[in-house]
Formats: sequence, C-alpha cells, structure tokens
Amino acid sequence: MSAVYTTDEYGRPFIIVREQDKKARTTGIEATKAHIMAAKTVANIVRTSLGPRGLDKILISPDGDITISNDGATIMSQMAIENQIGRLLVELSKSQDDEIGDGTTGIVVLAGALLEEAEELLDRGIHPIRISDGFEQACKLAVAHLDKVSDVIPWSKDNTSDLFKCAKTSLGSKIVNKCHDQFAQIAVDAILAVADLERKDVDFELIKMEGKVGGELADTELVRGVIIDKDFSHPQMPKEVKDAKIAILTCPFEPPKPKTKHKLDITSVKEFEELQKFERDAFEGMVRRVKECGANIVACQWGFDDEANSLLLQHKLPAIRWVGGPEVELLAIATNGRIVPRFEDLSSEKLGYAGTIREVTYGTTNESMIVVEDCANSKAVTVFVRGGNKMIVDEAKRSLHDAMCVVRNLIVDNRVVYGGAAAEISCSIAVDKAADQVSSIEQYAMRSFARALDAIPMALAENSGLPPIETLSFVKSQQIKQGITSLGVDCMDTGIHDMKEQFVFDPLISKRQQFLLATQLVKMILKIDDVIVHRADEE
Amino acid sequence: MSAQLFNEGATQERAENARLSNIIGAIAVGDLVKSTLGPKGMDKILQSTSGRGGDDGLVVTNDGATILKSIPLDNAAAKVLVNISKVQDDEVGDGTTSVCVLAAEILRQAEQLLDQRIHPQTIIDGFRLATASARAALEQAAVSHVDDEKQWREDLLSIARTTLSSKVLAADKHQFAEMCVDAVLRLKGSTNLDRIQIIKKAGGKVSDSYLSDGFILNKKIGVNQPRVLKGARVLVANTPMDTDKVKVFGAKVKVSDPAQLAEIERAEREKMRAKVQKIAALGINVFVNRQLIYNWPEQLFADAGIMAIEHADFDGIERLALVTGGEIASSFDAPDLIKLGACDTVEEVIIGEDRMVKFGGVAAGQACTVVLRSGTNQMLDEAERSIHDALAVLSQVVGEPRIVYGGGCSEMLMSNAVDEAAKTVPGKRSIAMEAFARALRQMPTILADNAGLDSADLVAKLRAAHYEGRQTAGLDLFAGDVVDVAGRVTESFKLKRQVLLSASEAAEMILRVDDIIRCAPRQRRN
Repeated sequence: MSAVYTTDEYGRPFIIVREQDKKARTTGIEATKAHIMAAKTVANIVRTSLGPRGLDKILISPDGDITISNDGATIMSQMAIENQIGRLLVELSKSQDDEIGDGTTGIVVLAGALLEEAEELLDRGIHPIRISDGFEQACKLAVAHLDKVSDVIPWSKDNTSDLFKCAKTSLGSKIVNKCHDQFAQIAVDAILAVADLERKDVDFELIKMEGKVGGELADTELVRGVIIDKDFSHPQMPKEVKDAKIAILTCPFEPPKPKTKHKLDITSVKEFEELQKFERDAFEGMVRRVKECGANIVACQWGFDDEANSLLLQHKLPAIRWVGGPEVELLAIATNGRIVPRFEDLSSEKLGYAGTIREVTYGTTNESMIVVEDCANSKAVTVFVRGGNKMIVDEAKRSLHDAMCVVRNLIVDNRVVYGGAAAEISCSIAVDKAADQVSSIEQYAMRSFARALDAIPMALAENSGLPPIETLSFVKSQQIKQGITSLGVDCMDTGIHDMKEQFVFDPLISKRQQFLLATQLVKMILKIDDVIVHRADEE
Repeated sequence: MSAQLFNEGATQERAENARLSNIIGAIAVGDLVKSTLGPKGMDKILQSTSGRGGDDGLVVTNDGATILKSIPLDNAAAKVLVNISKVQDDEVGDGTTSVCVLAAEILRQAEQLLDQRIHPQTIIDGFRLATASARAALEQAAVSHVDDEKQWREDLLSIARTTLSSKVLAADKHQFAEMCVDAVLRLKGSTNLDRIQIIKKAGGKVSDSYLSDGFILNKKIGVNQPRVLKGARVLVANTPMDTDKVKVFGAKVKVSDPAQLAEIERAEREKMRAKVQKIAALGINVFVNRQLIYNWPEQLFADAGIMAIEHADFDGIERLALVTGGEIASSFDAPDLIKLGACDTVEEVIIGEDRMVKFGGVAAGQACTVVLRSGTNQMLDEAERSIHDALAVLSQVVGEPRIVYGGGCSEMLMSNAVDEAAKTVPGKRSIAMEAFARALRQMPTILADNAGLDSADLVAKLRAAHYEGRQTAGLDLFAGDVVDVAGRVTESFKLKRQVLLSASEAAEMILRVDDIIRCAPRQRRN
C-alpha cells in the first residue's frame, strides 16, 4: 500500500492521514474492482432465490435463531454483512422493500449484473464516469421503453381477477405457493377491504397479521375484524359477547396516580380511614362510569387491580387488559370507537360497536385469542396465518406482505409489465438497438447495460433448471421475430412463452423502481475511488 | 478471489453442502428419536449437566417433544424438526415422535432423488401431490362413531390405550385409559386441560393411582378450624389477607408519637376485622384465598367457624371456582353480587404422607383430579407426561371425533394411495411421489424394528394385505403378525393428519433451502 504522505520544502515527510498504520486504504481502479467483487458475491447469494422455482435460504442469527426465507430484503438484512459495499446493497434492497414491497431480490441481482458488466468495461480502460454516464442514458431509455410495453389492467371492486393474478405472480416464488390461490385471494381481499379507492391509497396500518403455529398453511384465513392476542381478564367472564358496545380505555383500573412527584402522609386514624374510603370509591366510580355509558365490554391498555377486576366481573363487564398500543388503535378504528384516556370522558357516543367479540382457544396449551368481528367499520382486517412450524408462519407473513404490496401498487397505478423477465428482455433489445446510434464511448456502456438486463432471464432460467443461454436466445429471437414484447422465460415448463397467456404480471412501478434504484447505486459505487477503513484496535 | 463480506466467525454453506448439512441434520434428529416409536419403543435418559430438570437433572422419557426440547442442537434443519415436534405437542399433544421421524424419512428419500440430479422444486411438487393424495386417503379411511355411545367410548378407550402403550404406563394401560377417558368426558367438549389436575405423590405402586371425582387442593386447613364440613358454601377469593394496604400511590404513614402509631395499627386491625366480618356475613363456611392469610384474620375465621385455606396457587383457585361454580372475588362490599360456590363435603384427606383438602360432590362436575402414585420421581414425571399426552389427544378427539387405525395401518393405506396416484402422474414428479410412499412405509418398518421383529417380511405382508383390499390390516407388535386392527389399535384422525401435514411442510421447507448463512455467534461475556 502506498503511504500517504507528502514532503515539506526540506524533504521531510509529514503525515496527512493520522495513525496511518491503523487504517486500510484502497484507491483507484483497485478500489472499484474490490467493490464490484463484493457486490457480485452478495448478488450471487440471492440470485438463486429469484423466480417461481428459486430456492430459500436459512439464516442463523447471532443468537442461533433461524429464519428461512425467500424474500430478498429479509435475506439481505439478516445476513449481517460487514463489507461496506455489501451494506449498500442491503440498503438498496431495503429501499425497494419500503417503497414498493416486492422485487427485492431482482433489484440486487440487477445491480450485481450491472457491476459485473462495468468491470469488463474498466478492464478495457473506459473511465468509470463514462461508464456511469452510459448506464444513466441506457436506464432512461429502458424506463421509457417500460412505459411503452406496459399494459393497463382494468379492475374494479367487483372485477379483481387481474389483481389476483398479480398477487399470484408475487407469491409464486414463496413457499406459500402450496396454497397459491387462497393466499392471493387473501392478499387481494385484504387490500380491497382497507383501500381508499378515491385517494388511491392503502393504509397498511389497518391490516394486521397474526400468526399462530399449528394446523397447516391452508387454514390461514382473513378475518374481517381484529384479532387480539389476549384473553379476558377474569377466567369467569363470558367467552362471547354479542352486540358488543366496547369502551376503549387507556387509563388503568387502578387508584389515581398523579404524574407529578408527590407524597401523601397519613398522620391520623381519620386520614387513614378517609383514604380507604377514597380508594373504594375510586374503584366503584370507575366501574360505575363504564357501566353508565352503556358499554358491555371494556378493552384497556393497562392492567387492572385485583379488586377492580372482581368488581368488573360482578357488574357483568367482560374486560380485556394489557391490549398493546397498535391493537388499541386498530380496535378503535374497526369499531368506530374513540380511545378514552380518562374515565371522566366516557360517554355513550365514544363507544365502539362490534357484532361479536369472542375468545377462541387453540390446541392443548390453553392459549387463546380474542376475535372481534362484524365491526362498525369494516376497514380493519386481520390475516390469521397458520402453519406447521414457526419458520413457515413467519415466512408466510412476509410473503403475504409482499403480495399485498403488489396489489397496493396496482391500486395506485394499474399499469403492468409482463413477468418471466419479458420486460427485461424487451428493454434489453431496445437499449441495444438505441446504443448503435450513440457515437461516443457511452455506446459500450449502453450495450453492457443491455447485457446486464439479460442476467435476470438467465438467472430465472437457471433456477428453473432450463439451459440459460439457449432459453434467453430463443426468447430474444422470438420477441424480435414476432414483435410480441410479452414473451418471457417459461419457468414452470408449461410450453407457453407468452406471459400474457400465463398471466404473469408485475406492477410497472415496481419494475421501474428496480431499474432506477439499481442504476443509481451502481453509479454511486463506480464513483468511489478511495476507501479508508479504520482497523479495529488490536486489543 | 472473493471479498470478505461477513463478520469474522460467520460461515456460509452453499448448494450441495447446504442441502447435505440440512438433510444430515434432519436425519440425525429422526434417528435419535426413532427408537422410541411404538409400543415396544425404548426410553431415553436425559442427564443435564447443570442439575436442572428432575431431582438431579435426570429425566427418563419416551416423549419425543420432551427429548428434543432438552437437547441443544446447532443444526438449522434439526431445529425445524424440533419446532414441528413442539407444535405437534401444543396442537394435538401426541405424535411428537412420529412427526419428526416421518419428516426425517421423507428427507432421507429426497436425498436420493437429489443424487439423481432432480431439481428440488420438482421433488417438492411431487411431494405436494403425494401429500394431497395421502390426505385424501386418510380422510376416506377415517370413521366416526360419535352417535353410538358405547362404541364411541370404546374408541376413546382404544385411543387412550394406543397412546399409553408406547409410554411407561403400558403395563397398566387399561386402568389408565379408563381414567383418562372418564376425565376427558367430564370436560364435555372443552379442551381446557387445566381443569384436570394431576397430583404426583411418590410411594405406592403405579396401579394405586386413581381418579378422584372431586377436587383436591394441595393445601392444609388452618389451625383450629373444622377438618370435615358437610354442605359447604365456598368463597373463592383473591385478596390480601395480611394487611390491607392503601393502594393510593405515594401514601405513607407518618406519625409523630407512639400513641398515634398504636392508633393507626388499631385502625388497620379494625379494617381487617371489618373485612373478615364482611366475608363471614356472606354466610360461607369455607374461605379459599390465593394470597396469604395472616394469623390474626385466620384466628378471626376460626372464631367464626369458617375453614380458611391460604396461598392456593392461581391454577388452584381457578379450578376450584370452576368446580364449585363460584366466582373469584376480590371485593366484598356488595354481598348480593358475589356468587358463592358449593359442594357437599370438604374434608382433609391423606395421600401418602401429605394432608390435602378434598372438595367432594361439587356442583359443576367438570374438573377432576388424577392422583398418581409411583416408586420414583422420574417414573412419576414420565407418568404425568404420558397422562398429559393421552388427555390432550382425547380432548382433541372429542372436538374432532373421526378416528383412524394405528399399527402402521394408516401409513400403509396412505402409502398405497400415493403409489396408485403416482402411476397417473407423468414426468419426474411421479418419482418423488414414489419416494414419499416409501417414506410412509418406513413408519411400520420402524415400529416392527423397534419390536425386534423381521420388519422387511412383516411390512411386505402388510402391504400385500392392503393390496388385497384389507384396508384395516395393521401390525400386531405383540404377536408379531399382520392382523385386522379395527377396534384394537385406534388413533385420532386429527393427530395422524397433523403428523402428515407438519412433516411434509417441514420437509418441503428444508428442501427448498440452498444456502445457509450463519452469523458470527454473539460474544458472551464471562
């Protein structure tokens, strides 16, 4: 490594970077190549997860907990990557996840492929900045082309079959494709239940996912209401309440507790007795207030004193305690109730309404959950995921979330492109063609971009056990010959290459985001020519 | 050249290596518990180095879930198997060994297919088809006798015997089967096993165990209070009976001279006396409290002729409230709102050398108590686990009354159905289906092996019997022959279905993996 120092006018060296021996430094092309190597390694890990026949990864956390997943963002974030460039890719997949929710694997594979192509260009002596300029131009072209090949899919509240097909595409690569139709339907129904069609917005806060091991994946269901992982506070309260008027409280059934620091001294018997009376009255007052406003069930964010609990039972008020913050909000939304922070504020119009509230018990361990159904406001829904083991339940939840995101994206923007890498191949052809008209060095970079796009269909074919090069060249030639842009890789070996017929759709915004984000990241990596790493102290 | 991506200490296994390590891990776990399967299965001793568990960390058990829970495993696939066994335990209560063994056998078959270079997803496709046809066959074979009361009870007894026969209680399985069925039928469809209490007392013989229709509380009656009561009216409470604290936050007694202190103390005592009087005024003669009762209120209760029992644990009072039909009360100001419990007799009974309180002739007869006796603690613990398994299975059968036949009969039935279905499936998937059928056939093979019989011969005979259309043929592991097991070895349909589904789900999950990334273990500070 070249030492970073300079000399003064007497020829004595002085050090610019302090404690140089403790730092590792790479510069120039060497740095860029090291980055590309790292990015390629990361991309290679998730590459095999791509597509309907992609495989899963086991991730073992530092504490020995196991996650089995096919979701790019989950795999990336749990890998605990230390390398700086690797971390950038983790961020990349995370931002795709936050923004779009799906396509988190594809984006990493694309970024990896772009960098691989860039490496070749670097070897030819092309300056990194020229490469990134070329990529930029190519990306613009590809995105414009995506718009061209996209189709608008019609959907309405009654005609959801196309949304359903898109959800299926997203679920195809996950383990839940065992119950493919069912999960896709759940995703579509859940989103449509909560979607605000006028504003074209979907509030994910209204969809809750509860998982419980046991049963099988096919037992998963969509509950039009709320599920709370709690039970009634007193074992002898009735297990089912019909026509429930629910009081939602965020104050504990306990003696008042002022927030300011205080001290209450008892100095005489009279005071002692008064205090006891006050305490008794406080409890009774609380229960009376709840009863008076007409509520027949109480949900409370806090705990109950034993005495209050017993009083509630005596007054035939079933109660749920320690309901978590998000659940309280969800409950309030679902039942159209108001969250009441003080007993004094309770009134009948602040109560929520639900058709039934019941406690459901599972298995042999006496675990139970409270199901709130037929709510006043049908907007809040809960997906109740079942599965044979913990890992599968977790993975099913992640997969459903992805599928819901896809449906959400279509509600926001109902343009789709065709899956099975048809869109990538079509863009690759378009970019390649356009490159011929560019007279500068960027032409090379643009051709490389087209080749990088080909990496996606290659990976798909490879994962599906098809010969990658043969498949790609066949599909490409067919696209050009027949002029149909919806031809793609036939992963499931059905003999049909037209993705329009196979109903493999991806939302346009998802694909566009993939192209844009991946190109942006690659440009950023190409621009770095110097890395200074602080070595950990040797202690 | 590859770049250093992960932290130091992190490892990555890819493709073949990852698959191999998963399958080997799963098979190892399967082999570990395999020998406990069936009526002639063997037990395992688990010795914990830290001295946890039983008396000296020694556990003797036959229960798959217990064995797997106790072994710290480091293999990811093995952990998946442990998890399905735990889920099986929570969901159905038994079949914890079977589910692991079946999953391991499926993976063992899958390994051979992978060696033939078949894509894991193709294998999975085949397995899914196989699971579906096995499930259909199982559902078709399931019968329900819930309408015929006599036959229904016979079924339950048979299921209990099947479950118990692989456990330590096998010798007395008829007696225990009766006990378990009686206990579960009392629940009237509820799956809340908390209502069945199991009391373990070392000493005596296993066959001295009995089912008590009343409720036994492992507590002593207060001093100077009646030992036997007829026509008891019981108040079940959860309230402080030491000193009634002022719960208003921050309250604190502050006095300036001893006279005042004495007065406060008197006021406290008066408050307690008032509380006791309020309780006594309810007209009760038995008072059971979850919390402590101090000597002073205890004496007051004795004066009032009330039997006071302190410090009953939470489960205890819940069960007691349930059986006596009372409510658990914590406030006593509104006497008309408190529901009292009732029972015919409350008496002190002696089990072994311990005195306990028995509530006999209770109003709601849902709860009951199983008293287990045995020579050693390990035996008692294992007996409790066995009883729990049997109760859990039975309570689930009450909810889902369909039954299937055991002794390898159902497995052979499913295996044949899968084999038949495989013939109609074109392509490589049919090879996977055949492999699945082979895995199912491994179950009777293991049963026979564990019994020391000629498994190859027996299983072939069994298979032939099924092909002849004798759909209820199974293995009699005591006679070592193929017999008609209908009515002899019965198992819960729900249990078998769950074993099939969980095992294939887990196998699928493990097969789908082609990469294992293990983060650097967290550094522990010593």
